[in-house]
Amino acid sequence: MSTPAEHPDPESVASHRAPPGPVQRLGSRAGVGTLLVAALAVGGAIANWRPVNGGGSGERERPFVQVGQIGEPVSTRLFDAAVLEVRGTAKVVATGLPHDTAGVWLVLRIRLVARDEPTTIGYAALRDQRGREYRATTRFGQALVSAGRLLQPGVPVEAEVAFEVPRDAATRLSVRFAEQQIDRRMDEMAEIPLPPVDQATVDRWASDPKPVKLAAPRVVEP
Amino acid sequence: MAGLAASGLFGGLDPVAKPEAPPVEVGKVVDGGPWDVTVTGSRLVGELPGLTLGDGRRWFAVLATVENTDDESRDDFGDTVSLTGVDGLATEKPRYVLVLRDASRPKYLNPGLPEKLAFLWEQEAGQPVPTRVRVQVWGKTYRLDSIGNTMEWLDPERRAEIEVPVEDRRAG
Repeated sequence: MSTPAEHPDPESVASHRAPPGPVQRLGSRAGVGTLLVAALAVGGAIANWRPVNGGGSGERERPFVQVGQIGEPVSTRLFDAAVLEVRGTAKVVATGLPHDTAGVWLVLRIRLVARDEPTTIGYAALRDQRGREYRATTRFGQALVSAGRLLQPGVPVEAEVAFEVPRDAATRLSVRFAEQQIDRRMDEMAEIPLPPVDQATVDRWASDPKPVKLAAPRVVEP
Repeated sequence: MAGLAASGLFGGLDPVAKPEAPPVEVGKVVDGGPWDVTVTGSRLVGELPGLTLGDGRRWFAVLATVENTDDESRDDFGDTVSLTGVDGLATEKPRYVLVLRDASRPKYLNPGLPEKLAFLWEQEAGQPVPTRVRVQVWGKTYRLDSIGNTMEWLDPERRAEIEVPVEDRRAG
């Protein structure tokens, strides 16, 4: 029985495509698979992307460095630091016998003061022109810069601190101070360039037989 | 699971021996990265000033010149040297590392400043005195740390093995 053209079946489909055949179904699945692989490849590339030199987080999380000059206090969030004097020598005495070195000793007279809360300084290092860092020596105790001396707010403490560096690195250095001994990411740091010296001066320091006695930490007037 | 089984068929599950460290002569520099290490000798010693030695023990010392080749002060120089074939050591790692120039025990060594060091192990005094020992020099690889996304010295591995004569200095 046929349906009159002027009264179409309301349930019928106006335009009907034939169901896909086996070849079309295969093509469709291949297309979906290709898109899936492409999406995974793009996602993987994004997840594994690194800057050309690698280690991007090192740059992203670098400390905030406050730079000052010798003789002037440099303020950070937790403390103020100043370098008052720099001298070099072949031997230093902390307590007991002199200590010699394969390089040269740089002795800095520094002043540190906590700002608003008791603070320790866990990091003091010289930095040369090549970016190499030399921590304050640990061959003998230097409590003021190894988190061993608690600084009280507003009470300045002065001391001499010794650093051991190769002679060829000693002509142009800066010193850095920070609270944290190990993890200094995104922390504040004070940096003070030291007066440059020529190689002849460094060689004279390194051949000076007279040991330098390091001044122990002491509280000074604000 | 099928992949694992297939891998096993072709030797994928066989135990893998650690690669041997190349033999090096006493006195030759080994690039450990981040250290240059030159093992120069070993000796037995008795009491040392300022160091506590357990009852019935002696010091077994390995002497080496170590230079930090990194760009910053490092505190892992105690890991640069290990010992095998020595019986009666109290610890696997050295108990102390002394700078020979002043017998100090620094926490850090600075870049570019080679130091003669003594790596000290406590050893039971009743053990026979060895004439030679095997010393391993360890190094690391500077690579991107996939967790912290920072460049680090990682993956410690043996870089060299040195057969070192032992001097008995207990009488001296």
